[in-house]
Amino acid sequence: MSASASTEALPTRWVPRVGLLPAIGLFLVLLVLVWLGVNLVKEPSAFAATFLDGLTLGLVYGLVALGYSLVYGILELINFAHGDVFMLGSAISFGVATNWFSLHDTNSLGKLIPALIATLAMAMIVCACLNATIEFVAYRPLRSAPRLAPLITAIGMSFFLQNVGLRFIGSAPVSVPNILSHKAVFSIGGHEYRWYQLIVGVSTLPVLFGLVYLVQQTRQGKAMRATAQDQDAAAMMGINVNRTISFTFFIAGALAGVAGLLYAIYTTNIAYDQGFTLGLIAFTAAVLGGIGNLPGAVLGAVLIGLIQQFNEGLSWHAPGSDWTQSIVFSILILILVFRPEGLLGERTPEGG
Amino acid sequence: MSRRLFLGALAAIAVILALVAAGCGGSKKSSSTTTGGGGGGGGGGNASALPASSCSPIYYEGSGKPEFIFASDLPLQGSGRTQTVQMTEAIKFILKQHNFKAGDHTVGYQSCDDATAQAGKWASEKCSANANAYANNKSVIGVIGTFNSGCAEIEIPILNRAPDGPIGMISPANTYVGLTHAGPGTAAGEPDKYYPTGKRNYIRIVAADDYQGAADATLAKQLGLKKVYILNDKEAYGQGVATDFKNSVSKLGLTVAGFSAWNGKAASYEGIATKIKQTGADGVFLGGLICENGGKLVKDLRAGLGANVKLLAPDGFTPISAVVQGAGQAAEDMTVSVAGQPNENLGATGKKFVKDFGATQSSGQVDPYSSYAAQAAEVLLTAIENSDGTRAGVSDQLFKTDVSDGILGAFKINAEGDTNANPVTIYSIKGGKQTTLKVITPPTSLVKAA
Repeated sequence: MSASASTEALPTRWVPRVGLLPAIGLFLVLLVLVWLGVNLVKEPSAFAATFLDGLTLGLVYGLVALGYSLVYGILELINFAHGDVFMLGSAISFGVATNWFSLHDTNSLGKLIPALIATLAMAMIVCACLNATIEFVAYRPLRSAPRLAPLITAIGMSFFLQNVGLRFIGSAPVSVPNILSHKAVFSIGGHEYRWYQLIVGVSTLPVLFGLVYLVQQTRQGKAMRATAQDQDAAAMMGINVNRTISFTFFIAGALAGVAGLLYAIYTTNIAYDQGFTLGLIAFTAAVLGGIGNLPGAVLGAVLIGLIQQFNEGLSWHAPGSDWTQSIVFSILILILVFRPEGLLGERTPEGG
Repeated sequence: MSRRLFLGALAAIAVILALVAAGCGGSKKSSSTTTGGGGGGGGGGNASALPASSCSPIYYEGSGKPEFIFASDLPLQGSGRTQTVQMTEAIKFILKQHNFKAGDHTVGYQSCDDATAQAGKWASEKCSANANAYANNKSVIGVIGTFNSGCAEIEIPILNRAPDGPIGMISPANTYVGLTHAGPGTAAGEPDKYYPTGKRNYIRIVAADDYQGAADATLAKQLGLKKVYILNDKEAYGQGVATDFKNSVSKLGLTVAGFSAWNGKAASYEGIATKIKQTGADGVFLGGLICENGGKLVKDLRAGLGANVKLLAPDGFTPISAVVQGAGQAAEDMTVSVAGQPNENLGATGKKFVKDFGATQSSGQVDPYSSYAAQAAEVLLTAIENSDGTRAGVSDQLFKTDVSDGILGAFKINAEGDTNANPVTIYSIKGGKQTTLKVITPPTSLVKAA
């Protein structure tokens, strides 16, 4: 509402309103663009390969970030256990795919597709039920407690699940056999882009669209948005708040299951502590994109994926892999300084 | 309200459970804890045990109670477990051969764990807790360990300051240069900062990383590599060995295409592979530990660089079975260097040990590190035998070590605690198994450059 009012006033007052902060911001963005441009000109093939790798990695991060964003949008709770549910999703997928179906990239499509669907269903159902249980046990009783309390139980749950994962996976990363083909789809100047990367990366998009449809278009989604805005008012309007929140956690858990399977296929390595590291990155992505905003979460994740791979893969004046983590989080700080609501933040439920 | 409290309590219990699970993930055997008190010293033989939280019960089958105990300090959890557990078996084997005696002294042994289940490798808090336990238990006369140099950095100074000490320490596996002498890859103040009393108390019977870096550089040259890219995992060991390798290859006339880090927590190393490919390097050195996501790193490098680029790893990538498990097919043809010599190169005494000890093992296989652990036990028992029965006496005797026909052959320990026998074995991974490629003893001139 207020946004449209100020847009009308923009043309006449736009020039004098460029303050110091936005100017610095623009300058920094320009600097990054120039750096990318020079790299593109110097090594076009490496640039393209790095871009594709970063995009794929970012889309994988995006799946985990969606789960954080969904729950935060409804409850304003950072569900730290989400990353560990995702890790268990990987472990379950790995167990089902290798022990039950002994899947391998040499399998025929006729076997691969039904087996993958069964694995996916298993991971989604288990993770969804687990996540809903976590909400019931660790968050629901604390709903009217100070906001710090559920945050602490979330961290507790995260540790608990990590130890469950440690039992199953062990402390060393476990190698997952190649489930999807590692053959090249195409090759740019000797850098190959492979089928498994393509399939895993592209899979994020239907998940995102389905989720946006669910939240924006369905009755259940309406109930979710109403609950996000005001739980008491939603309850007065006849919405079963507890059920809606349970449903949200259920969906977020299912997402973690999908992410778990795709991550295992993508990295071909799973570890009991992958949820912590990836959770931190996914949470950062969600904040970067505007937490609570679903397309924002994926956008933020893609940006982080691109930043990581550009920094490590490009040669001309790239700080290199020694600095990846520092750069990701510096950019987070910068973006939040210039846009505290995140990149697409204005559409958060609590923002109206 | 009471229901909420109840559920809150449930959540709290869940947290406590998680923490407890974190603490006891290793499933330790329970053992009888003997109460403290200063034993040892006289000929009484009433050694008290180290805490059961980290250590096995005392292994002693002689008469009465042992006069002294010595401990081994190894990471008994994580991917290296099979290897380190066999090392403790080898130590027991030697102690039993000596009838639990070192000269006139009766000696028992405890195996202590410096790893946590979470880390799957050594953990600094365990190292310091163990070292303090050794220092505070007067029965402890010497320590075999550690396996990891990072852990040794923590333990050496604590044992150096121990009462009636220093307590002598003998490592069968530490390779970080700065523990015993300064060099290009070491930090300021090393090695003196590890010896606060000014008296040395630490020796090792394997070649340090300056030898290993030089051996890997020699290998790179022999493989005909022209341009190598060097990665490190940002840890003291990884950076050290990577720097040693860098200096040695430069001396041998190879080009260093780049020197950068990999993050053990990253989800992808495709970017790093792209960058290395752009440099045109024909070899990559992985200075670091396999447990820093080394398996995934090898996979991504192999996928991005193709089959013709050589991957060279130091002994951080052991046990080799863990590399194969983590990297699968991608590990094929990579080389792993390990300080020390393979069992098949041992002399008659060593071969006899491998045969006799192998017969006691269900697998029948003897890991090379077991031979080193057994040799360390021999050296320590000799030092106890020749000592005056005090900690300081044993520590002094360690530096007088001069073995003429040991399990590892003939070697001497110098004043800095280093051995004069410095072979480095290069293993190659073929068909998912380790095969010995060659043994390189790099020339001193090259090691000086490292």
